[in-house]
Amino acid sequence: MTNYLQEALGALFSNRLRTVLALLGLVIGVAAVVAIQVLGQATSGALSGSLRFMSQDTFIVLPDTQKGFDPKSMFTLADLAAINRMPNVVEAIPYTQLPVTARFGAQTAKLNVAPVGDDPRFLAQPLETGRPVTQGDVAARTPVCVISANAAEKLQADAAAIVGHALRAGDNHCTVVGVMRKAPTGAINFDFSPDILVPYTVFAREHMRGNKIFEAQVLVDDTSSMTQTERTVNDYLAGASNGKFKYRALDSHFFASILDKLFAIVSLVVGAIGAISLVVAGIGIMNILLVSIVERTREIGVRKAIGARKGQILLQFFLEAAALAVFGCSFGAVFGLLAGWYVNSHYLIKISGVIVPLQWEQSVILASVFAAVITLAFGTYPALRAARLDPIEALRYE
Amino acid sequence: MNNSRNAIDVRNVTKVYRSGSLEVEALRGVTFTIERGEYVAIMGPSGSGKSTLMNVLGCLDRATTGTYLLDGIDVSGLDDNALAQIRLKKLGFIFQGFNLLARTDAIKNVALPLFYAGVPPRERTQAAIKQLEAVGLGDRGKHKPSELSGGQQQRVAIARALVNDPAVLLADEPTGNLDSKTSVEILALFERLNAEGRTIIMVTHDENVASHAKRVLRMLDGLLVSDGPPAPLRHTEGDSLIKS
Repeated sequence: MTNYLQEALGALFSNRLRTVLALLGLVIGVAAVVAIQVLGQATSGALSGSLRFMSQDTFIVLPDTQKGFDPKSMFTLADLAAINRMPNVVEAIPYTQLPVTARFGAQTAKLNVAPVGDDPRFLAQPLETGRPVTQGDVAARTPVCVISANAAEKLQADAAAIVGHALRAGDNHCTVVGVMRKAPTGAINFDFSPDILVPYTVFAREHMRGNKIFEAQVLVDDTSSMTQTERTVNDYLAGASNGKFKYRALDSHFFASILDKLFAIVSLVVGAIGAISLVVAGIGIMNILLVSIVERTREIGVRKAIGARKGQILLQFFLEAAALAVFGCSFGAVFGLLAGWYVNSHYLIKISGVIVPLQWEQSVILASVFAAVITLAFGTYPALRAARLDPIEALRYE
Repeated sequence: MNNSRNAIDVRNVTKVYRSGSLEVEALRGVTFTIERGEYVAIMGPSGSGKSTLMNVLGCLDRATTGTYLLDGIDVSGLDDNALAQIRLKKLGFIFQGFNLLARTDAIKNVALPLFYAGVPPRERTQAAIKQLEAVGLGDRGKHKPSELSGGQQQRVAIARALVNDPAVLLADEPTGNLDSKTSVEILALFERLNAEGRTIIMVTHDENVASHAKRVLRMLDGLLVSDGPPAPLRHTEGDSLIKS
């Protein structure tokens, strides 16, 4: 066996340029698939990491709009108060934001204003300076606000200096009591990242102006019974509409399942690209082998005349295919992993702020499967063709 | 073994090629024997069936009818792999165009039959070096065919044909690609090998080359038409071998 391998390697080595060209297609194909595969996993990991923006202990309740939206299905602050009293509910607040023109001193900026409760878990980032919105603020409808680092920056105000000063948001004023920390560098900036947070009671009075609520965010105490709480809230709201409307709840599990579906599609696409590149690279290898067999017709004739059996010729050319496939797939896997590692450590980390370890073991398996499939699918026919050559004709071949 | 003195025993061998409805009788019943240690030339114009006969004798092709005993073994009904095994063990081929593996050095070329016979690498190399020394190329073992002259290449091919100690050496126009001086050397090597007891069968169209053999079989239209000693030389050897 080792003798045949030496023969096969010798034949490949003696025609270096062609061997390298044949390998190139395979190396690029496998490298691309391996890179996409490891990056797909890393991206998935990175996004799941940054998905923590959706707090694990809150859910969002909204009218079920599958059969169209009816404004009457929206609910009121009184409904929120009722939900607030339910078991396991810490606090329920409207879930919305409004674009406003904010002004601080001479500086204006387009910012978002959103309602917030007194629980610090509603804040996207911990406080850099100042204090959060308190239960007293909510109850007394005190016009205070907590602003994001982004808001302070846009208003060209120093975080420490702006605390205690009034800010104009649209037609209203609020006194800044706290400034949140800057979000981690490069973190995905989701749309729902409000700049100015005011007590939801103040928000309802000043910004909603009696308008009803479309979505509410509900903070729960015990996340393990969240599903049950969601049902209780949905049932309450449906009951309040006399069964006319249905309501549904979205929690982090729901978003995670959407993300899972997304990655399933990505994997499918990657798989398809992989299959195509496998076929293209395989055809390249088959072509090279067939050319090499035609070129070496006389040589095969000589080998047969000397006494090589069909099986021995078959084995020799099959091993050439296998050697090509193994080399190509190994190099491809290495290059793919290097590319994946580079993109992961230089770019993906900026998106997520988290390093997701690359799943290199899977790439090794993938490359091995590629090598085996290519050898079998594209090496068998050329090898058979060589083995079946008639020695007399082959010897006569010019 | 039927007749242990015979290296070749051909009885009533025919070969018919079919292509579509057309039948070509390349051999129309050929019978002869060649004893061990003989040096025989097969001659005949093109289309006479001498190449077909050579292919049958070389176990590259099967006779349509008739029997063929090689070294006492009936090879008429053997399948491809069994014929390959016979070629490996019993025959040595020498071709007009040398047919060495171009990118392989002399030692590996000579060792090739032993590779297919499953001989371990070290023994293969030793045996190949020994054969190269026997044909006077002991110092060219590491040279590739392109680094050798035509005569040297043919001697490597002869060493390759001898390395498995074959019962019969088959040479197809062995001097066809060589100049006269080198041809003389190669024919002298054949004569020496024959003197050492090798059975040699050589196909040639050249009377002067054939005259080196001890017996000449002449083919015409698929039949053996004469069997006897070579015709006497018409010219001095050196002149007659100059190729046109």
